[in-house]
Amino acid sequence: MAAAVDAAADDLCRVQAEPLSHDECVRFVTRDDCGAVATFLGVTRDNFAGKKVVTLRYEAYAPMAEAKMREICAAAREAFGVKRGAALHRTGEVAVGEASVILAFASPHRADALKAVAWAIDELKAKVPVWKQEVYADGAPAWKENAEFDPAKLSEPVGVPDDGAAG
Amino acid sequence: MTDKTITVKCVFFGSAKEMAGVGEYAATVPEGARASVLRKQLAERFVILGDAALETNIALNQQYVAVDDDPVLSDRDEVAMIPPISGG
Repeated sequence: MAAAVDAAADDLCRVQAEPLSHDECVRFVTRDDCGAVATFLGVTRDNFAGKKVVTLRYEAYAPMAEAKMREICAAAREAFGVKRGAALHRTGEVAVGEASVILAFASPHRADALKAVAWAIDELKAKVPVWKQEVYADGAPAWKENAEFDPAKLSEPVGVPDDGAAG
Repeated sequence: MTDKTITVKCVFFGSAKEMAGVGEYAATVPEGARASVLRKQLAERFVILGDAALETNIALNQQYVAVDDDPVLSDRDEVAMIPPISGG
């Protein structure tokens, strides 16, 4: 019979320099058996701590970042029952108003997709090897550190805590 | 004690890359050397990295290394310096 399908291979996980397409993510995850598609876009904001931000510059350890995003989508399938996921991250300059990251999940009913997206962006900010530099109108650019990042927990497997976050 | 050496590809990102001034560096370490030996060599070769060479998280062949682990390296391994993450 048919070989076992690697469900996680059905997810779209990509690091790219080109502008991200929300439409591509939605079209990719949408399935006939899913009544809900939930998405998140991380967009460059024009300010930080009272300073005017002109742009963000992103670098990625691309093959590992894609592998980590695939792990996040696979964990979302297992924990939330979503049927398909998409995770795109952009590199290079991402100007104010443009998206640096897009996540999308599809599930039969909306609670799962909504929870999956909320969990996945937190996990991405903790574990996916991407770095950003804030470029200000005045002063030197600064490398940022995510609050979600914990050096002691970085090597722990990607996954949803057992405290009921999986609903 | 053998004099054999192995080559490990080091890759730098973010603030570590900016400090080191390069994105990649081919390190030669003794066969059987652990990651800590490599870290010390990077600290010497890229003085400006300072404590970062010894303390920054690393990934070995695209798997994060636990902070209390000190794995033995193999020829053609890839070690990435992973400064605090700021994706998204």
